[in-house]
Formats: sequence, structure tokens, C-alpha cells
Amino acid sequence: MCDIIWCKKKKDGKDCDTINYLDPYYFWNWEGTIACAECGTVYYIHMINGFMYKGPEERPGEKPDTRPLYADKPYDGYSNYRPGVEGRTRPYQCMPRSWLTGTADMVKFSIRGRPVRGWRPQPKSAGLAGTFGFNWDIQKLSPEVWEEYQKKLAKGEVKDW
Amino acid sequence: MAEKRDIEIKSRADTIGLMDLKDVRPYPVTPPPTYEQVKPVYEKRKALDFCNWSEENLKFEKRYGKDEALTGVRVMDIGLWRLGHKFCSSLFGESGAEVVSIEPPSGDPLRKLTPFGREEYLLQNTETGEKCGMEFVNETVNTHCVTLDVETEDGQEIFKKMASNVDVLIDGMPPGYMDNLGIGYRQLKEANPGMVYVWIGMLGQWGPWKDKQSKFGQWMLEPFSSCACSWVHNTGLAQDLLPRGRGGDPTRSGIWVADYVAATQGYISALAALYWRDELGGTGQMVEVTGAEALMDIIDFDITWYGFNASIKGRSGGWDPNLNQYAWNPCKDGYMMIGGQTDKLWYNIGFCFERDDIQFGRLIHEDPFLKEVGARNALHALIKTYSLTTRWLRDQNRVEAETKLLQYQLAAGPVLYIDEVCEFPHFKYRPWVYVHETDYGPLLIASAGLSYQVRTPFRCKWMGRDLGYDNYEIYMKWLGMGQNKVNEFKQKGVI
Repeated sequence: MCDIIWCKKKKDGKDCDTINYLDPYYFWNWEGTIACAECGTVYYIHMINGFMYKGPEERPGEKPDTRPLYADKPYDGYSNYRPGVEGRTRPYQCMPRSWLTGTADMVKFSIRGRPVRGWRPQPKSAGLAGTFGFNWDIQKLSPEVWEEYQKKLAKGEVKDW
Repeated sequence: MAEKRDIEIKSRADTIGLMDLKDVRPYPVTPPPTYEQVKPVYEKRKALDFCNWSEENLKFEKRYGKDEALTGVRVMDIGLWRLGHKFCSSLFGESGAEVVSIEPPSGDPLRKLTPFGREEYLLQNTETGEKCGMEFVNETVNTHCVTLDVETEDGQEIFKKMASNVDVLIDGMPPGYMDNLGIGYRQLKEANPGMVYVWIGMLGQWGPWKDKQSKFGQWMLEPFSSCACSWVHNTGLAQDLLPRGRGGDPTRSGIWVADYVAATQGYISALAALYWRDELGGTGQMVEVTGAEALMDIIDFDITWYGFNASIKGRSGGWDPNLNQYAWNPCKDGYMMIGGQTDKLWYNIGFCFERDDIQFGRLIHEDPFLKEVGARNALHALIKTYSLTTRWLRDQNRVEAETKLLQYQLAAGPVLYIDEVCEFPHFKYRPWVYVHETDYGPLLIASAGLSYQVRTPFRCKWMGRDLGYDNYEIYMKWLGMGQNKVNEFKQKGVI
């Protein structure tokens, strides 16, 4: 088996059964140790022109040289480890910047402080590219926004223009 | 006489032994396909009539008998080191204009540029024995080579007289150099208001970075402009696919691409300016083209994406970040490009691979995440798909991979080496690559980019010339200056 390491190591009485994908440019000609993303078992491999010349051989106790960029488990609903998961997969520096991978700011009020119907990001209930109906009773449908709005009104933060 | 022998070429490896034996490996190694061999291709899509008409009207051999679009247009070109102004004037030359390229009496240093500085790669004029770099020869097509020292007073006078009679002046000198000498656009337009003055450079003649140069006064040449516009940062493998120092570094294009793009834009701008001048009652004007901006015009959506959410588009090597599959990956004897992103093609790729690798469908087609066209483009989906694609490719050479994939109606093409390009039956048939007789003996060249035209195709008449080869002819024709006068200026070091 090459280009993937299908880890069959027993872990907690179960097979690890994780496929570690060896991305083609990095591993085309490569020798070293690589750790399974799921169970951390260290394997030695020696690849020449894409072929697994030696390995994968277990090297217990050794420190892995690297990790795969991606790994998944077909027998567990294809659950996976994506690039850059600490201690599992190799970091991928070309990921969006840290402040872009966080949770998006909720926009409920316009710059004039008035409640807007098209929130950003849209809640899941809006569906794909959804909008809410024309008559949107804030007080009834979004009581928490209504409350926030009342506070803004009281503070005089709501402007006409 | 070359010894003839039968050889069978199955892959590039079979041709390597032949390459050192010049007599045994004439060009082409294999003859181009005949019309009888190509005819069934035309018939297959019921295109026989149209293809016959196209061959009749567009074929290479017909071009020399046809008109030249820019007959009567006079172009003068001055510059050093750069390919931009040279390529631009070559385009004018190939489309029929009379082009004069001005070099200092010591010659453009570009004449001496040769791969790894090795003299044996210089071309040698078969009559005079003068040597010249291949880069210079390739980028001076149909241009007259004239010498003139524009830093002398006499030289400036001569230059002014010549410029008073041209339609287009192409300037490849550093920013403001010609203006400082009193022979820039502002001064020359007094005598020749109809002149279109095209400046081609890296970052521009004005603006805070116009004079960026080394402390020794070397002004900027390519690839500084491709560095300055993120082209270089954008090219190559991601450092996460190959670590820095092992291939994941920003990479230059194999050619001085910004020069060529800027030159093409300069040519187009000049033609539009000529049209405006001649057909719509305009006047001459100055056009400025920079390599960096010319490339920024075509670096895809990178700038828009940055503006959209401050994303810096990362390098992704042979992988297209918008499409899956749409990439080249390593195979047994090189690299193989495979394309198929719609559902039909995507599954066809898998069906093809599964003939040899039964696990592919299990791991790829059955993964629910990969069933959605959009989801497949996620980075981890690309990693998974291409890891398994390459597992199939490593057993295939390019011909095998192409043959198998084409059976499944997929877009598949090998990444070709230059020797294979020159032997590509398609290019040999049209012929895109051909042997041209030059002062330097027969040279294998690619056809002019715009050669396939029914009425006024571009064409190569000659390439490169000895330094000052056309001095007598051009000075007589353009200025009425006789041989004695030219010789006098030569003595003074002006010409």
C-alpha cells in the first residue's frame, strides 16, 4: 500500500482504521517517519518515485518527522482530520489568517442603529440564500433583537440618517 | 550524410540517446503526419469541408504570398537589455512595418547573453563569424539593426531627424532617460506631432518607485516587475505541499513573462493610437506600458479576493484552487494534466482509475463529502483526491495515462518537454515549429504568434542581424546620408 497509510493499529480494543493520505509532491521521493493522525503510531516509510520502497514499518518510541496533511476514516462515516489540526495533521500556513477563521460578527443593526432584516451571517433557518418574509415582526420573531433595539432607542443611538 | 535507422519512440526516454548524435537526430525525428492521416480526424466531426478551407487559407506555406497589414508604417525602437521593446518592435516587424532598432555602437548587452554564460551556445553568423546570443536573435525579428550613440550631440541630431519621420517610436530606456537627453516625447512631438511614442518598462516613468535601481546604476529589468506584482509569489508549489527550500518557494516564470505581456500591450496600444490618429482625426500621443501593471491586469482575481476579505491567494503549484480535478501531478515519466470537474467527468475519472486501482472508488466516490461539486474544491478534498490520483499515475507513463483517460472522454494531456513539443505531430503539421534559414544558419523556431490569418498573416523574414548591419541602407533611405558621411560618424564614434 502506498501513497496512503491505512493504519490498522489496535486502539482501545478497536482498529484505528484511519487512512493517512501521503500528498503526492511532498512524499514523491521521501524517507522518514510519519505519525498516524488518529492513534499517533509512528511509521517509517521510504518512497522512491511515488512507490513505497520500504515500509510502512512501525517505529514505536520514535519521534515522527512529519504528519499527513489529511486523514479520514471511511468506516466511521468518513470522519476526518483536515490540514492544520494541531498534533494530528501537518500545519498549512496558507490557511486564511487567524482572525478570518474565527466566528463572523453578527450584524443585526444598520449603521444608523436600526434593526435590519437581512442579518449577516444568516441563521441556519434561513436556508440557502434565504430571506425572511416581507412582514417581519421583530418583537415576535426576534425578541432578543427587539430588546436590544429598545435599549438602543433609550440611549438615543438610533438615528434617522 | 546522416545514417538512417528505424527507431521506435514510446516515451521520452527512447529519444535521449539520440540527442547527442546530431547527424542521427535531424529535425524532425519523425515526419509530420500526412493529409491522408489527418483527413479521418476532420471527417470524424463532419468538419472536412471547413478544415480543408482552413488549410487552404491559413496554412503556413501561404503566408509569404499575402499582404502585410502594416506596410508603410515606420517604427523606430531604442532600448537596452530588455526584451519588452524588442518583442514589441518584432511584432511590428512581423506585421509588415519597417522597423529600425537602434543600439549603441558597442551593441546591446543582450547580444552577449547566453545560457550559463557559455560561448558555445552563442549563434554564429555563417558569413561574418559574428556571434550573438539566442535570446537577442529570437526577439529581433524583421528589425533593421542600426547603431547610434544618442549620448553625443551629433547622435541626438541624427536621432531627432529620424524620429521626425516615424509613426511609432518604441522606448525601452530607463524612466526619463530620453527626456533628459532632449530627445523624449515632449521634444520630439514638436517636429512630429503624429508620432505614437510607446515607453515600455517595469514600474513606470513616474511615481515613487520609478527610479528603483542598484547602487551601481543597474536599472530594473524583468523579473523585477513580476516580483513587484505578486506574479512570482503566486507561482510555484505551496510551502505546505513542499517545504521551503525543497520546492515550495516562490518561483519565476520560465521566461521574462512581464516583458512579453507588456510588449503585447504596447503593440495593441500603439495600433489603437494609430487607428485613432488616422481614422478618427486624432494626433500622436504617448503611451506608457509597464510590466508590473500588465501582469496585474491578468493575475486572475487575486487582487479582488484580497479586497474582498484580505485573503492572500496562496501558491498551489499544479493544482487549481477552484476546480477538482484540474491539475497535473507526477506520473511514471513526468507530469500528467487531468481535467474533469463536472459530475459526469469527475466520476469518469474514477471509473477509469478503478480498472487498475479498485480502492479509488471506495475512498473517493463513496465519500459523502466529495459528492458535492463545490465541496470537492476544499483544500483537504484536493489533497485526498490528488494523493489517490497520483497513486494511479505513478504506474502509468504519460502516453498510457492519456490513452486510458481519453477512452473516458476526459481532458487529459501530458506536460511536454521541449523536445517533445518540437516533435508534437499537431505542431509539425500546421506547422507551428519549423526550420527557418537565417544569417546564423538554419534555426528551429516557433511560428509568429499571429501567423494564421487569411489576408495579412504575420511572418518571420529574418532574425537577428550583426551589429550595425543596416547602417548604410537605413541612413541613406531615411536621412539621405551617404556612405562617406556614415563613415565619418563612425570614425567619431557616433555611429
